[in-house]
Amino acid sequence: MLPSTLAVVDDDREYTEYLTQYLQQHGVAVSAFHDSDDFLLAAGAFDFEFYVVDLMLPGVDGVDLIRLVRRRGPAGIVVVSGRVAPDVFESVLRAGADMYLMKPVRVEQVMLAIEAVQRRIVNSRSQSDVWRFDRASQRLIAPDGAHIELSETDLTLVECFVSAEGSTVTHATLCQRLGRDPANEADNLLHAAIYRLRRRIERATPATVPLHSEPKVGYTFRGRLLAV
Amino acid sequence: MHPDEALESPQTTILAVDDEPANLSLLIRWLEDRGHTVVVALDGEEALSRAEFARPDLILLDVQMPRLNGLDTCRRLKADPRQRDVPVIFMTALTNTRDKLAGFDAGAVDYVTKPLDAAEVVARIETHMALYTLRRQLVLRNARLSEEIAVREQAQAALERSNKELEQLAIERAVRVKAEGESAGLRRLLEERDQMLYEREEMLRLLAHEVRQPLNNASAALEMASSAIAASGRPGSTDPRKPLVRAQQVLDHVIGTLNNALAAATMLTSGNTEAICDTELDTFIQLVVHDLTPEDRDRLVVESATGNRTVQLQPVLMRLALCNLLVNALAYSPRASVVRLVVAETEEPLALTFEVIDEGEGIPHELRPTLFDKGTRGRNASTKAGAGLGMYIVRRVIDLHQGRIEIHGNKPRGSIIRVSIPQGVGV
Repeated sequence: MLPSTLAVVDDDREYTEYLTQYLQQHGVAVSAFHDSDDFLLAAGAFDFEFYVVDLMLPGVDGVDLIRLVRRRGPAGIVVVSGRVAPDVFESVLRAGADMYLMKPVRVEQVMLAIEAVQRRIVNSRSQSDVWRFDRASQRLIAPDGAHIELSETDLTLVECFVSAEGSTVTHATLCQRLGRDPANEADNLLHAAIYRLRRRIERATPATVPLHSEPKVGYTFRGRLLAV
Repeated sequence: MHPDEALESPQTTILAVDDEPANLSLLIRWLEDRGHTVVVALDGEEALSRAEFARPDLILLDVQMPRLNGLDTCRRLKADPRQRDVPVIFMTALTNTRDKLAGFDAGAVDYVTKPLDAAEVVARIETHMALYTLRRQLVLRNARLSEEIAVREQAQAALERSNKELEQLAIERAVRVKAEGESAGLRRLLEERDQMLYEREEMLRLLAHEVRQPLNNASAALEMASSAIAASGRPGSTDPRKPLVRAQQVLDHVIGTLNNALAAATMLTSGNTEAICDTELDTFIQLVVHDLTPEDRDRLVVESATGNRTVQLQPVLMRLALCNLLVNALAYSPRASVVRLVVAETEEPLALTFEVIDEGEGIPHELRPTLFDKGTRGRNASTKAGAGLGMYIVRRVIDLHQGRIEIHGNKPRGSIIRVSIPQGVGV
């Protein structure tokens, strides 16, 4: 699953050329920019379906560029960079990138990342449907109709997400609802419970699980979740 | 030293005690002429009460008096702490030695004989007054001296204390100055070191950016050239792709070594690495597989025994670690053999597992304890270039994930390296 239009912003001309050629062979209309200023000045700079961005760019810095693109809409953004500072990964994702790949990479690997992100975007677009929580049968019903049997712990978590209505539920709240001490950082029960819940859903349905971890804060169920 | 002012006072009071008023009037006249104040008493009892109120400087005491005689009066006076030091002079008509001695015994300082002689009385009184004054001066001076001595001793002690304190302060200051000097030196060293580290990391970043991807590009170019030649299908006795494939392998190897060196030097030593995050397992595995050369990829079989699509790991570092394990397994097993990567999960503990299974010669037991150390290379390592960093990085990355790594023998030959990465962890 590939986007139809894509912009590559990278000053490595050789790599850009290979990538452009490779993606075009797979039916993607690629525009390459070697300078982020050129990119920003180009007509329709924000109309691409997908962006592959380097971080060390002449012109506007890569992280700022990601932020700008992200503000314009939900296009896919994959960062391909050789920058190796440890915090790069987080800052890039915070800026709104969907995936980060460290150079060196083969063009096939970039395409793999593009496909994975695009699949996720398309899935979540078609998944504007509702997740339902059937209290009577203690089941979660995925948008595609798959039924997921829930354990006692799952039920508690799902109830929390239902009442949060898409906002983040903090670690402390979830721990309390599970009857655990939120101050005990060694207690891994909550994270293990979330992991098991996600796994249970993933096994039952190919749908993307909209369960997001907010580092050091809590968890968010970003889909529509209704109790029936 | 100046005499005490109180002793210079002309107001000298003398208590005269006698039962004969005629004697008393004589004494009053003589003594008042000399500028003294005279207080009189007619018997011993009266003398005692007068002495108490008048506080005389000297007492003239008749020996033979009715009621309380002079000797007893004197003893009573000497028993009173307030009067004890006041000199007493007896007036007696008696001339025998025993009575004089009894007077001295009772505490008198002197005697005058009756009938009284003005010159004698005045001379004796004034002599004793002077003696008494001198004695009191002496006592006062002594007291003042001992007071001064005490004050001086105190001052001396205080001085010694403050000297000691000063000394202590000086020592402390010296220590502090020394420590400050040392810490300034250390700080300078640290700053220099930080600067050097920073420069080194900058160099490595430069290396990362400027060298690795171009090498990768060159490798891709060779790969394309090699496929183009294959496609042109020229028949010949020797395959013209051989040198190209060889060149590509060399490049890939250089890239791999650079990747490991860079990871070891920057990400693994800086203390803070990338965060563990939710990662799509399939995409991750695909990315790792595509880190291998096409030839190596053909020899790899990936088996998935998990329904999990999302796993928790550090994608950049784990990609490098898993790639190292696969490259190693492929390098140390026969060219025709297959290497399997089995992805599975365990429930207790909650973990993701990767098994890299090869059919090579196996890992000798003597090598196992040091397999994951820096610089460890296989027995036939001479045929393979490498700095021995690959396995060291595997261990460090797995440590960062608080995971486990085990080596088992594969049947009938080869080895199984099993990596277990905890899941369901807080991020």
